[in-house]
Amino acid sequence: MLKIENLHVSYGHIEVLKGISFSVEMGEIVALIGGNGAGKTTTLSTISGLLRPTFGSISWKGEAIHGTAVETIVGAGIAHCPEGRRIFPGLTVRENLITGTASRAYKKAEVEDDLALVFELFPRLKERIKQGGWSLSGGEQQMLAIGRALMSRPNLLMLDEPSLGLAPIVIEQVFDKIVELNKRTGLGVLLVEQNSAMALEVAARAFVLETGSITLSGPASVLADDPRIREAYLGG
Amino acid sequence: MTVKHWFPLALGVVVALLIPAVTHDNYVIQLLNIAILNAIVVLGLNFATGWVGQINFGQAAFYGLGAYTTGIAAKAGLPWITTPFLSVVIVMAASLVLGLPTLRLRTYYLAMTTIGFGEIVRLIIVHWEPVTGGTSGLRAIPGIGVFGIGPQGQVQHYYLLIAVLAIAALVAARIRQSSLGRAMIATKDSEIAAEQSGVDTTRTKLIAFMIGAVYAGLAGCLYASSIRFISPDSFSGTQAILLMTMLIVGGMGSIPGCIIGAVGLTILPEALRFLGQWYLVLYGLGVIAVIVLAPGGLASLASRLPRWAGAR
Repeated sequence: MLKIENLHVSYGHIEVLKGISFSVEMGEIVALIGGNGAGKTTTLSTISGLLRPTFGSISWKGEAIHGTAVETIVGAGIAHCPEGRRIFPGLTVRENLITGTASRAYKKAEVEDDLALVFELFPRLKERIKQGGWSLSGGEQQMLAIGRALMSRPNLLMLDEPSLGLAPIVIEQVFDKIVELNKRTGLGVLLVEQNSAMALEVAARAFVLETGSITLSGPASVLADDPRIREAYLGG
Repeated sequence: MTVKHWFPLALGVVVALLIPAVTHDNYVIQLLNIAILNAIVVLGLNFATGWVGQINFGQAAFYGLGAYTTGIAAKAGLPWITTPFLSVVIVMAASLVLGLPTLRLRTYYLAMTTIGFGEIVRLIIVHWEPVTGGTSGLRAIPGIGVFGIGPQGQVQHYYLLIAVLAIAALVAARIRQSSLGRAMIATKDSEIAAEQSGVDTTRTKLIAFMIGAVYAGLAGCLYASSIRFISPDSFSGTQAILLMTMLIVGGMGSIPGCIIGAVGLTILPEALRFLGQWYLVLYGLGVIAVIVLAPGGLASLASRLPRWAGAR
């Protein structure tokens, strides 16, 4: 469904991605793991159109999407839930969620259905529905950011470090919800995580990114047992 | 809308409607009329600046463009009813030409472009003397009238302008509640996250800027045909900064704040006139006090009141 071929991305003279290739199939959870500065966030930002590749291609449902505007890519079905959440503090929880529908034609009943789905996944948000985004805790903001991404009715959800800054119990909840969503709706997920243990637990396949190149790939369960991974990312 | 919302609103409307019954001083009413027109202009400024977060110093120039379009057209003998349309067309064209190239860029490009635009408009007004009257301005501009019916005297103008302000505020409130309004706040809070949510941020910024220009253009039209005298001083760069101050002191992003700020800062210099040259000192201190003590503007004080009351 999402196919990335020989992708190169540079910031000025510094090449951050040095020709990576991978794909995400329909309804699959794929994890992209790796240390700081490996290029994980750059990969997601390039897919969502915030960055332009210097070389290589990104295709989505058989069509090339690199070079397309960010909001067009959301409309095509790829939602990006960015690192550090970036919710809208000046809007209420409800308004934050509805803003996620900006990429598609507004039908009131549809929006209400989607809101109901998000509240079912994250009942906490429903309790906070009229509160300003600024008043939410870190975990609630993460739920809101995921909820907002889901409001665009994506086929592929790209999550950038959803565990960042969250308490372990909240991380567990968030990952449970991601798996639940994937099972229920067949939503594809491309997950970027520093918390590799958690990511490998929920993903079907995984790729290890090191300084701009994919060094290892395979079924998540196999990677989780690989001694190199255990040593570098899972703490031995 | 709850009691908390409509009570101050109803109070404001009653006070506004009763003022002419209390004072018959034409000077006071005319000052209030200018205050109301400024409030409409500041409501317009709030779209691009308060909600989208773009610094706009061109609002006084759009105000002037609307006023001069109406002044020139009415003096040339066109019926009054055509002047609001002409003013709106001119300011829309100007804001489109100005906004289209600059609003694609992030950060402070709009601030720089609009400062330049304000200066261009002022220079044209000052130097195109045969048409604009130059520094001495345009006098005896025909008044508001549709088929010979129009407001007579300051008080009738006052009621008309209050009605226009009410409509301007209601329209602004409706826009804030719409998907466009949400897109504006989202763009201010995080341009990247807004785009990732599917918001076309360039379009949102441009529309907000143009709506603001239309507010200023209409206020300019009403200024020319109700005050009936216009000069470049009323629409200078100083006025642009003053409008920005009104927005900040009243409360960025707050509709009541825009009105409070504009009315307060229009009346204050006149109320302090007895101080002679010292009035600027007090005026400056007052503005600084508001910014330091209530960073959210005067409107934010009102929202703190229930908390104080509740604490007791």
